[in-house]
Amino acid sequence: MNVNNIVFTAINASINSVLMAIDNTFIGQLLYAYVTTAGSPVKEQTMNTEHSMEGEGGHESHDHFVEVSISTTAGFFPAEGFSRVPVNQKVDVELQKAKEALKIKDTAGWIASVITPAGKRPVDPAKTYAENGLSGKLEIDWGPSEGGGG
Amino acid sequence: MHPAAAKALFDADVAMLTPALGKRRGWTFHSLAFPLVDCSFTASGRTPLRLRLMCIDWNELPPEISLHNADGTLLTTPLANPTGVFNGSPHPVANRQFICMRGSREYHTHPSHVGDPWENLRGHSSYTIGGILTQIWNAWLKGTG
Repeated sequence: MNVNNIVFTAINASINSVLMAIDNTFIGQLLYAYVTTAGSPVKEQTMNTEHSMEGEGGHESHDHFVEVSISTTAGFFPAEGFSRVPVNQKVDVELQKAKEALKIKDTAGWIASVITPAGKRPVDPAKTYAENGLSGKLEIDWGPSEGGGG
Repeated sequence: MHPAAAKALFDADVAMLTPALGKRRGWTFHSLAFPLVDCSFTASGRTPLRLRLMCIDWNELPPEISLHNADGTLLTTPLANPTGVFNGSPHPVANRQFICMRGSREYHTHPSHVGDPWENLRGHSSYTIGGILTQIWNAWLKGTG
């Protein structure tokens, strides 16, 4: 390794340290404040991706997220495991992702519910997880409601 | 409907009726081999309901659906506290109790519903084999016993 390489490596390390320091302080705090501010429409638009806060140094509280797995007869979304989404995000956001990922053509008349030991409990997709009184790890079942006829 | 085409459509539909889905919903699959879907619904405090969907000519025609006891014998007594789609009276063609619901062959061949053709529903996401099962399951969950 020549002198130029040593200098270059040292400069690179310094830049990385500065960037990490910024990330751990200013940006990290901004992101944390962003997540913990309830009712912000901007937050809902931008924080709806799964695992969106993972790897940010553990700033976020688990209270602000739920873990979601959606089951349908067209498959599961995500295919394995759970998606981590903000508790103040509307349930419908993940349902629409599931619809697209599982190539479900039409979902008119479909109902979402959570399966608990006590039975199925309906979920309002137009409301957030918090507004539906949901927290923690959620298995959401989604499919057509009781058929018509009789 | 050519049997090979019917089987291909059937296999595509039942491919997602997995043990994982069964575990989550309380469904037990006894058969998913063309042309038969044989499935039991279970729930805490409930008598299981076993259904057989005979999917010959799928999906040109909807499945013939029969109700069974847990051991597979034909259910000869009406369900306790049934909800709307479970019709305890004998079907005029099948001569047994039946699922009176859009998506069952018994519904579409019933004199009261022949004006509601299957063609209008065929191919919709709610009328796949899994979709039809889900609709019946949701009806069953509303009942008791």
